[in-house]
Amino acid sequence: MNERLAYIIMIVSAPIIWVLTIRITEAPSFLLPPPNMVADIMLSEHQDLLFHTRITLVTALSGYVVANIIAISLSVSFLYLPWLEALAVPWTVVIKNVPFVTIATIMIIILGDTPMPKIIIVVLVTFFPILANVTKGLKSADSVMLDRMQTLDSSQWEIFTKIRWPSALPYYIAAHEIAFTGSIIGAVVAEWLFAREGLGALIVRGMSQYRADRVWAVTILASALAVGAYLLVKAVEKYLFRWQVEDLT
Amino acid sequence: MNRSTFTLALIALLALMLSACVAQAPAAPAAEEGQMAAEEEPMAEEAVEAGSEAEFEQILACVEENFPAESYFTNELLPAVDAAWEPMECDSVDSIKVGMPWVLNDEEAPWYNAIELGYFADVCLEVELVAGGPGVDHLQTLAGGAVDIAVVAGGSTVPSLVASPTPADVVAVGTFLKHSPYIWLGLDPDTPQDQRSDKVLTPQDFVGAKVGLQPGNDYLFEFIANKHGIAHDDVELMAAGFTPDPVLVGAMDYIGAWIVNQPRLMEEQGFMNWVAFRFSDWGWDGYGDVTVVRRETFEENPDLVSRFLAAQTQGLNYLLENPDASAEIAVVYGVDAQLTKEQALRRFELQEALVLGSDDLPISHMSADRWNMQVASMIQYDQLELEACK
Repeated sequence: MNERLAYIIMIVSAPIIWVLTIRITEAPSFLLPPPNMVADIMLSEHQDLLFHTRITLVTALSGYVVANIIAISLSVSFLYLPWLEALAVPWTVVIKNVPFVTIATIMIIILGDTPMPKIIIVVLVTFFPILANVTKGLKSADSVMLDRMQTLDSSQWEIFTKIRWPSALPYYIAAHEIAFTGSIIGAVVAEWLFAREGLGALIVRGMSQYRADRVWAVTILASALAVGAYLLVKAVEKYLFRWQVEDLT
Repeated sequence: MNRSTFTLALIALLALMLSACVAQAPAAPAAEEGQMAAEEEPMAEEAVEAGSEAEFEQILACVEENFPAESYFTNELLPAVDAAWEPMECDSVDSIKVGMPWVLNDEEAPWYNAIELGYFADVCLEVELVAGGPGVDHLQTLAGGAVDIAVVAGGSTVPSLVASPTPADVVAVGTFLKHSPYIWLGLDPDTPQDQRSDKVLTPQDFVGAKVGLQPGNDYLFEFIANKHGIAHDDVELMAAGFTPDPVLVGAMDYIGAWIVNQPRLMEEQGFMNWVAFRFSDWGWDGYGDVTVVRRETFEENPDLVSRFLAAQTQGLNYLLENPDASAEIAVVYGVDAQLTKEQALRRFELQEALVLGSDDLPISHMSADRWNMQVASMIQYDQLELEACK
C-alpha cells in the first residue's frame, strides 16, 4: 500500500476507533475522554500548548545535535582506532541502558534546574542508534573500492569522503528514523521527571489536576511531533537518495 | 495523493513545529497578572493580602453554594468515639485491596497495626496493602477499579477529581492527618549543625532564595507570592525530587517536603539545624492521607467501608497509645524503606500534632469548612476550575 495513503487512513480512522472504543468499552472520561473534548482543549489552550511545545522542541533538538556530534565522532574514531572501539563499546552499552531516573536524580542535584539534565537525557536516548548505525555504515564500504582508492594513492580524507561516508549515509539516515523521533519522546520523559516547563511538565500538571482531556491533548501533540520528525527524516532520505529511484526507472 | 500534496502536508507540519518555536509565552494567569501589576506599582504587603483575602471570601461563598464539601466527603461511616472494640462472628471474609499513599515505609503504620494485631481479621476483612509512590496515584487506580479503597496523600486531590471535567465519583470517608504536612525545608545557617533550630520562617525569608519544588507544585509558590506580596523574580524556583540532598549540598536553599519525613532524613545525616515553613500555619491547609472509596461502594456496601474504617481507626488508636510497639511493627512491614525503630518513632513524634488536629472533632473526622476553604484556595490559585466560580 502507498505509504502516504496509509498515513491518511490512520489520521482519519484514529478518531473513529477512539469513539468506538469509548462506546464499546464504556470507558469513563477520566481514562479516555471523547475526542471533541480533547480537540476543545487543543483549540482553547493552543497558546499554552505551543509555548510548552517550543520548550520541548528546543530540548529535543539541542540533545539531538549533541548526540550526533558525540556519536559521529566516536564512530569515526572507532574506524581509525580499533582498540578504542573495543574499549568504548562496553561503556556505551552500560550508559545507554542505565535507568534514567537514577541519572536524573543525580543530575538535578549537581546541575540544578537547568536545561542540561534534560539535554543529557535526550543524548542518552538518541546517541546509541546513531553510534551503532554509523559505525556499521563506515565499515560497510565496498572493499574493492577501498582497494582501488589505495592503489590510486588516495589520502585518508579522500577515502573517507568519497567511499566510507557515502557508504555510511544510508545507515546514518536510518538511525535518524529511530533517534530523531526518540529525541522528542526523550525530552518529554525528561520534562515529566523533573521540569517545570515543556510538554512533559504539562502532563504532570494535567495528571495532578485530574484533567484527562489535557493529558490526552499533550499526548497527541507529542505523538504528532514524533510522527512529524519521522516524516521529515523520510523526506530527507528520499531527497538524498533520489538517484536510486531514478536509476531504477 | 500526488507528490506536491505530500510536500504541502510536510510543509504544514514543519510550519506547526516552527510556529511552536516562535510562540510567545502564554498569557499570564490572573494571579500572575496581579503580581505583575504589583511589580510595576509597589504595594504594601498588607494591601496585597487584603485584596487576596477579599477574593478568597468571594470564591469561598461560591464554593459553599455550588460545590459544597458534603458532596464528596462524609464522617458518617467512621466508628463512634466511645465504641468498644468487639471482634465479629465471620460467616465469610471480604478480600479487599487498599492503595497506600506512598511506598511502604512507616507512613502506613496504622494499617500495619490493623493487620498485625488482627483488627482487620476481627471485622472479617482480608486486606492487601498496595504500595504507592512516585508515579502511582491510587485515587486513579481506585476510580479505575484496580483497588477497592485508596488512602491518598493529598486530600485536595479528592475535590480535584470530583470537580474535574473528566471526573470520577468518589467519597472521602476519613483522614489520618488533619493538617497538611507540606513544608518548605531548609537549613538554619545561624544554628550549629548539631543543634535544633527554633527559627520561625516567614514568607519574606524566601526572597532571594532558591526553592526546589516537585513537578506540579508551582501553585504553592503562587499562593505564598500572591498572598504575601512577594515578587516572582525574587524567588528562584527549581525542579526538585523527593530527597533533601540538594539542600544539604547547597544546590537549593529550600525544598518542598513533608514535615514527617524529610526532616528526619536530614537529622540522620547529622543536620539537626533544619528549619521548616509550614504551609498549614500560613493559610494553605488540607487533610492528608485521606481514605477514599468509590461512590458505588459507599452506597452499595457501606457495611464494608464501616468495618474497614473501624479497624483502621483501631490501628491508629494503637499507634497513638503505643508508639514504641507500633514502630517495631512498622519496621517489619515497611519493606520499601530500610527504617530503624528510632526513625519510625521520630516520625510518630513529628506527626502526632497533625493526627490529633486543632479542631474539636474526634480523630479521623473532617469538617466541611476545612474542605470548602481548601477548594476555594485551589480555585484562587488556578488548581481547580469550577464553572460557577470563575
